[in-house]
Amino acid sequence: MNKQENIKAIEISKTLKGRSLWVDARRRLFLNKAAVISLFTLIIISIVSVFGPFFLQYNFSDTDWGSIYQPPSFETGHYLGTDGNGRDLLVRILHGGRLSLSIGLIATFVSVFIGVLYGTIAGFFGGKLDIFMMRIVEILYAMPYLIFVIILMVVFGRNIYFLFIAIGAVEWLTMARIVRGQTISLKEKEFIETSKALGQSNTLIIVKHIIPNLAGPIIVYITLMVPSVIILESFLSFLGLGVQEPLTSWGVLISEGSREMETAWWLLIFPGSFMVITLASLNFIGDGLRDAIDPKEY
Amino acid sequence: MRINMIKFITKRLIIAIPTLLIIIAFGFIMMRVAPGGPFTNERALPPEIERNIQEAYNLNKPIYEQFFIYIKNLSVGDFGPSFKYKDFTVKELIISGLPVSATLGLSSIFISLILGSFLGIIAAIRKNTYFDYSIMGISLIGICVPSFVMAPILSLFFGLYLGLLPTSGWNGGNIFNLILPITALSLPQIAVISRMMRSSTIEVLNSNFIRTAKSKGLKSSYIIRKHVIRASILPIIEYLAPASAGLMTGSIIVEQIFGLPGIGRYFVVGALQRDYTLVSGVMILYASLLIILILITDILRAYLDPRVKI
Repeated sequence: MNKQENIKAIEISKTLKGRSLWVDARRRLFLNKAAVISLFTLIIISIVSVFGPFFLQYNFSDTDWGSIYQPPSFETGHYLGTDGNGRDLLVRILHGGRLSLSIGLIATFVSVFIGVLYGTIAGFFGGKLDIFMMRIVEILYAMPYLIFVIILMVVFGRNIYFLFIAIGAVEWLTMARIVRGQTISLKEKEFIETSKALGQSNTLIIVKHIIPNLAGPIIVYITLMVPSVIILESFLSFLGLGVQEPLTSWGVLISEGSREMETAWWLLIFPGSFMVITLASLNFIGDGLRDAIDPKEY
Repeated sequence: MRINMIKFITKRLIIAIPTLLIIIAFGFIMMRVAPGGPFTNERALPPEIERNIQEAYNLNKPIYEQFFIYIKNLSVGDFGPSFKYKDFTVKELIISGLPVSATLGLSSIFISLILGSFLGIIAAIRKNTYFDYSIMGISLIGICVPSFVMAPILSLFFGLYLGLLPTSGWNGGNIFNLILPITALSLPQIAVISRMMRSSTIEVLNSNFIRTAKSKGLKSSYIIRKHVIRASILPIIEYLAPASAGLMTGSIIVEQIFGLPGIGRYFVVGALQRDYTLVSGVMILYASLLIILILITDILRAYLDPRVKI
């Protein structure tokens, strides 16, 4: 290659934009029809849950003794019917959606925070500390964690903020395992050695170099964890141990609906479908993300 | 091999025993920390009577001694009296609920293992046909519809609209009363197991030793029976412990919905009414079952898979 060709090549490379791993992943994700449709559905459900109640004429705790157990109808404005206290079901479902989705997000965030911290520390420092920390995880794995959450709720009372923490506190184990495995393989890489040679502190290496490189598996795992957290919350609320009246979540609504399904089928079917659609969307998005971010591994 | 196996089992036991102790300690501390005890009265008892009661229930001893007494009682199956069901001990309640829960749980795990693996294998063999797609589609429903949605819908549809099966009750273990609860309990597990079985069977079918078997001219039904299943069942065995944990929690819901008098129902009632002895008794029972199961699956896996380091 002579000099002129060299200059030309450099100019071409300036006009061409490089494709990062993330751009590639995004392209692969958007090629996945199921994932795109699910993403769209999920966004719509979230927006409607957050903003929908402002545009409806009923309040979620308004009782109307004149219209108990009304079937869905457009004339009365109770589009999805009313419950045994005459409360509008649609507004209640949307309010429940707010709560279920936010518990899903916050509890997942708590568990990801604990899991990532725990996993990176165990993986990065290795040795006896690693063995000790992973032994603890192994012991905790053997516990029936849902029963654990129930007991925590019994002892500390049915406080909604505590519910966030309790769910987050039991869901971090798998995250910690995944992160530890990835950290162990990362810390042998050259760029970590370089930063060590440059005298960076361990904290800085973990925060600046290891955690950003774990983003892929963490994101995939988050999308798979949110649905399981939503199910867990609904499970507790179903048993009467989670969210308490007048607040509501999908689990509470499904629980009420299953008790009254013989007189009013809509009380069970509509909250149930909202929840199932959300869970299905999250699962499809998770699968799509996994294929997009790490096409070879799975 | 023998010695290795014994070493392996002892190593696992060394992990299992502290786990159990931690769980028992958790239950014990919970009972002590939680507000309100059986002898908390509005009217104060005369001091000498209170002293007598404390002596009778060992409450005047130091806390670690109480803990040892608790463990000693547990080892002979004495969980203490129930706070809420006044005339019963926790042991009596558990014994009365155990047949119901065990029938539910054991038949569910049996059905989901057999049906799940069977469907998974067939879907893998007929990969990318409509049969495969329909099985995987149905199993997706099983994964996305939680048991507390599925169970009421099943009971609404088959019990109320079609009137084929009873919607609730135990009825002395009548088979018709069992069909719906067992279905609701097994469906999610069948879904997960069939998906796992499908992907692991596909992986095994693509491996070298299966190609060798094929090139030797063995019949494909023989290959699947003798070679494929043995290798592809391994992830399922590993999944056995999580599946049982899922069934335990699932049975809590299902017993609630179908009104079955099992352990799960007592657990929920105990949790709602703060019956601490009952709750911690059931928790210890569940945890020990789970620990034993994990131990068994570990041993089974080591036995079936020669690659597992023991």
